[in-house]
Amino acid sequence: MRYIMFVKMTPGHDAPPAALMSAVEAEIKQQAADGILLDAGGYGPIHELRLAGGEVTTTDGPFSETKEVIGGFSLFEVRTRDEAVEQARRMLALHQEFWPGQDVAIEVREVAGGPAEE
Amino acid sequence: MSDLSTAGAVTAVWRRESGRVVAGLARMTHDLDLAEDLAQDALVAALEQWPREGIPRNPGAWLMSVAKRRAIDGFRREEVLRRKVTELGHGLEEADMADLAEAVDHIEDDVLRLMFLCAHPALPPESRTVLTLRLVAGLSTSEIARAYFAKEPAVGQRISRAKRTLAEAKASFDAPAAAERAPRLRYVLQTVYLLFNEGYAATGGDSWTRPELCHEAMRLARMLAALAPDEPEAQALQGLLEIQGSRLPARFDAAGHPVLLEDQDRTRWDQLLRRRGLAAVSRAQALAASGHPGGTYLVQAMIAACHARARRAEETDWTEIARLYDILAQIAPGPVVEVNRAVAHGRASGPSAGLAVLDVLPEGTLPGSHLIPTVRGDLLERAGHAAAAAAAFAEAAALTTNTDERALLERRAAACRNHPSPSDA
Repeated sequence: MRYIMFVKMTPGHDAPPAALMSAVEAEIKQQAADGILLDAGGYGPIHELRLAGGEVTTTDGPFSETKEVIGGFSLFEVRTRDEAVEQARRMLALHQEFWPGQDVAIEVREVAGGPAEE
Repeated sequence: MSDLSTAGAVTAVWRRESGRVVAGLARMTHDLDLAEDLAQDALVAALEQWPREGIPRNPGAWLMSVAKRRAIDGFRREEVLRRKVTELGHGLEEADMADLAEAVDHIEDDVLRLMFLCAHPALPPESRTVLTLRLVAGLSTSEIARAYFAKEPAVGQRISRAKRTLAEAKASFDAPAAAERAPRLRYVLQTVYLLFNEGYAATGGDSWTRPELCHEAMRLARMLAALAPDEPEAQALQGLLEIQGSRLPARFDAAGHPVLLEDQDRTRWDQLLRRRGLAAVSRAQALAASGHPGGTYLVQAMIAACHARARRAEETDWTEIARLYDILAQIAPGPVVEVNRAVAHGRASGPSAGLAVLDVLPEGTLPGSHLIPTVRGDLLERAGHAAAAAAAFAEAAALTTNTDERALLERRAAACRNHPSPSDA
């Protein structure tokens, strides 16, 4: 089963601490070595295209009104939803330890229609 | 966090940590049974404590330290095992508890050692796969039984027998030394490959494939590639399995009938696995080019990569595939390789080149198999010898035990009979 995980947080003024970055990097490396991580990446500037009331608008981000931004994603191939949630728990625990005071939300979604469902 | 209170959350931790825990305990106790029992005890303790107290900061180290504590307690209690403490005192002292961080350096080696042990040549091949699933991949006996469509007690017995065989063979817990390493690594690679094939072309049960086994094999292949980053064969196996895995969604049509590679709808291939597989094959080739010897998995992976690169079947680089099968025929000779070599040369240089490969095979090669007459029929049909092709397809149809396949071969035989080629006139 494939799951995609997004790390979301409120944009702040501070850059993430170096200790967090290296801890996250080590965890991502271990996930790959454990054979469960298929893909991962960070997100750059946002370009939004929106259809509302029949009108198409395009905007270049970042958007000041947005409460949460997505920092990065990970794509896992695991057996169960619990396994996917466990990887999110670990990522959250790293933020808790190395970036105290920063609010973080991690979203885990099953990717439907993956090859595991054949 | 309500999720933490469920057994599923603990099992999820187990799936990532148990291989390392069992491997570390196996190094310390030199006893697979004991290592697994201690690890299971730690799992039971986790199931009791974590829902109340939360999952610890470093769950792997927690499990390991509980297991080690139990080991020491157990050794103290059981007089019979006292001897072992003196024999294997290393790593079982209380003082070691503080050295977990240091021990982490060896943990990856431990897992590789465990893989060598689970794929030990003293074991029958099917026991190697089951033992690897159990101890390295951390699957429970019931999970393994489900994946294999087997009965749980049968799987349990196989695991116990395998552990007994290893103990009786006095299988070493140390990593194989220099000269022994390459042949032993082949057993590990072969075990993962067998597991994938068992899932890819299921030999029993109701389904054609068991994707679960394919996914476990891919996961193990990735682990192995990370544990042996300098081994081209390990990178190649990962590439081979991911490329083959990328075809899983296209291997069957809507009616559930198998679809041959050349007829597959390539837009249904899993592009992520395909891309990852190609990258792994590139890594393997780069390692081989820098002096690390490659082998049969590298050649097979390069063949798979040729197919994976072709957007349409007609774009397949058959000249390169024929060259690779020539190499494979030298390093791993066998009748099935020859048949594939015939197909490749037939596509690369015309049907007569393929027939030439088949013609030199000794009489009675692959007895009882429809493979050679099927390929011969295909090459003869392409060469315009419809009557001879019809006879070959009929021979193949009589040999196959698969109903779908027989119907297909009979249709091809009839088509050749109905459209005789000028050369047969």
